[in-house]
Amino acid sequence: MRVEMQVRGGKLIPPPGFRWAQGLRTVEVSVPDDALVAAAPSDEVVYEPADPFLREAWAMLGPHYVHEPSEKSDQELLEETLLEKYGKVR
Amino acid sequence: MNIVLDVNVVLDLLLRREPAAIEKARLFDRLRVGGARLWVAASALPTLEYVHAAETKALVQRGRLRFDGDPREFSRRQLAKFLSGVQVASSLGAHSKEIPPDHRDWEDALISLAAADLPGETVLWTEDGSFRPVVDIPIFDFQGLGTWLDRRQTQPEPVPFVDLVSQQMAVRSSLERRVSRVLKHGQYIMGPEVRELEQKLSAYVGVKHGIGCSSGTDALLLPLLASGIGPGDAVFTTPFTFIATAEVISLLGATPVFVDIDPFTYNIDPKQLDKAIRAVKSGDPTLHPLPTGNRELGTGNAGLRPAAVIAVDLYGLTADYDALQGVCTEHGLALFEDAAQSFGAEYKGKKACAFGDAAATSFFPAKPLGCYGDGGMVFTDRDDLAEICRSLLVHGKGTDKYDNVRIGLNARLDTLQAAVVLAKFEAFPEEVEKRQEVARAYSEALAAHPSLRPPHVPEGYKSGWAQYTVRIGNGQRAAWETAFKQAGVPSVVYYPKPLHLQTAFVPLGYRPGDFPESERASTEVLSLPFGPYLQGDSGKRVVAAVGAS
Repeated sequence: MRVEMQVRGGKLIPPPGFRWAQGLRTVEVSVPDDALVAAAPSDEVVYEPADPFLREAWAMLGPHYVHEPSEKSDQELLEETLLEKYGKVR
Repeated sequence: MNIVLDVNVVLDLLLRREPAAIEKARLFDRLRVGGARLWVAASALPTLEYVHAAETKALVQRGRLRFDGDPREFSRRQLAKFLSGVQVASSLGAHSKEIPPDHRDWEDALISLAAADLPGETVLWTEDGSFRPVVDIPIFDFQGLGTWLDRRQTQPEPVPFVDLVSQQMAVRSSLERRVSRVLKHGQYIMGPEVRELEQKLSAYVGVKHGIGCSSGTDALLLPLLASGIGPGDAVFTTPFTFIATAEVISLLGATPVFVDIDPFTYNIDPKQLDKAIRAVKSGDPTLHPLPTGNRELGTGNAGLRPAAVIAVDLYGLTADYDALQGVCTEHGLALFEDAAQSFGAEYKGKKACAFGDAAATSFFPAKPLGCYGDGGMVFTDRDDLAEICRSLLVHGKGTDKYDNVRIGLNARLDTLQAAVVLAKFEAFPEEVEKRQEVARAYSEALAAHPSLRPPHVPEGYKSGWAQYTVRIGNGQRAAWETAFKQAGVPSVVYYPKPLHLQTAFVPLGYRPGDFPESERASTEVLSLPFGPYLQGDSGKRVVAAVGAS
C-alpha cells in the first residue's frame, strides 16, 4: 500500500486518519534539516487562513516557520512555567 | 452557534501544531464563514498565556521561530492578535460552587461552565481526549466537529423571527461590563446610566431632550399628559398600529379619531387627516368617518376639539412629516411621533424621533434598539414639555419627589435597562446599516415573485426596518404563511385587526368599511424574520423559502 508521507517540523509523518496495523498509530522518521529544504513548504503549509485574525497570527510566524513539536507536553510546559512563577515564592 | 475553543486548540491553531494543523485551520475558517461565534473561556487565559509563551520560547531557542527580542513579547502579540478576533466567555464566582469536590481538573470544569452559560447552541472544541466537563455539553475534536457540522447542515436550526441571541453575543462583553457597573454602584433608580443614555440618544437623534421612561407606552402617554390632552379633545391617529398608540388617548379621557393609511407606506395619510380634522371641526361625519360618541369612554364627536395628531412610523418607516406638520400647523394641532418601531430611521436627512412636538420610542426587546424588559424614551426640543415630562415620570415631582406639584406616574427607566441599551447602542449604527443590507437581499429575492409586494421606501426615506413586511393580495396570504412554515421560516401578521374594529374601541361606534386601506392591509400584510444578524444560513433560508414557494 502506498502512503504519501508528509513533512512536518523536520519529521516525516503519515497523513491524518491513517492507521497502522498492529496498534501502531504513527511512524516518525527523523531526517537532517538539509533534506527538508526541497520538501518544505508543501502546498498545505502555504495555506492562507480566510480568517483575518488567524491569517495575521500566522504571518507573524514568518514564511519559513515550520512547527517543531516540543519535547514536552502542554502540561509539562505549564508545570514548569508555574514553578518558575511561584516556586520561589515561599 | 457558539464554539468554545479549548487551550490546546488555540495553541494548535496559532503555532500550526501537528497533527492536522492545516485541517484545523480549515475547520476554523469553516466555522467563521458559517457565522459561528468563536469563544475562549476567561478561565483558560492564564494557561494559554503560560503554555504559549513557554512553547514560543522553545521554538525561538531552537531556531524554528525567528524573533529579535524576548519570545514572551512575540507570544503576547500573537495571542492578542488572535484574541481580538474571538470572544471571551466569562466565569462567574458561582461556577466554583458547581464543581464537585472530587473533580480533578478545575480548569476544564470552569471552561465547560462558562460554555454552558452562553445562550444558544454551544459546543466545545478540544483535542484533549480526557477533557473533564462538569456539565452536559457537546464536546468534539476537529474530526468530530467537522462531522457534526456536516450533519447539522442537513438539519438546520429553526430561523428565529427576531434573533436576539446573536445580538446579545455581539455586545456581550460590553453588556456584562455595564450591568456589572450598575451592580457595583447600586443606583438602581435613576442611576448615571439613565442620564448617559438620554444624552447619547438625544445627540444621535439631534434633539435637545431625551427623557427615559418605563415603556414605549409611557413614552407616548407622557407628552400627551404634559400637553394637557384630556376629555373633549380629539386626537387623530391611524387604526393600523398596535393598540398602545390609541390606548393612551383613551386613558386620558380624550377621543381617538382614526384616519386611514396610505396603502404603500402604511402610515397615516395626510390628505385623509386634513379631511378628518375638518369633519371634527364641523361635526360632519359625511366628510370623514367619526366616532359616533360614547359617554362611557367620555367620547363623542359633538363638541370635540381637534387637539393633536399621533403619527406612527410603522414597520420602521417614518410618516410623511413635512405634509403632516403642514396640516397640523394649518389647524393649530400638536403633532406627536410614535417612533416605537423607527429608531434609527431617517426622513429627508433627519433622524426619526426628531419630528413634531415630541416623539416616543420603545426599548421593547424586539425593537431596533431594545432592552431586556420594558423601557422607552421621549424626545423633544421643547423645554416646557421636557420639564413637565420629567416631573410626571416621578409622581409629578416639583423640587424633589416629596414636593408633588401635579398628578403623575411612576414611569422611570430602570438603571439596569439603561445599561443594557447603552451596551446595545454601541453596535446600533452598524446594525442600522446591516438592516439595509438584509432588506436589499430580501427585496431582490422578491423581485421574482410579483404576488409578493416588497415594502415601499419612498425617495428621501431610510427605514429603520423594525419589520420587513410584504403585501400578498388575492387571498393568497394564508397559502404563503403555510409555505413559509413548511420551510421552517416563521412569519407574523402585524396587525390582523385594525384598532377601529377592536373590541376595546367598539364603544367609539366605528364600523367595518370606515377605513378600507387599513382593513385591506390587515388581511394582506405578512412580516418575515428580520434583523441585522439575519445573515449567513438563516438569511439564505428565508430567501430560499421565498424563491421555492
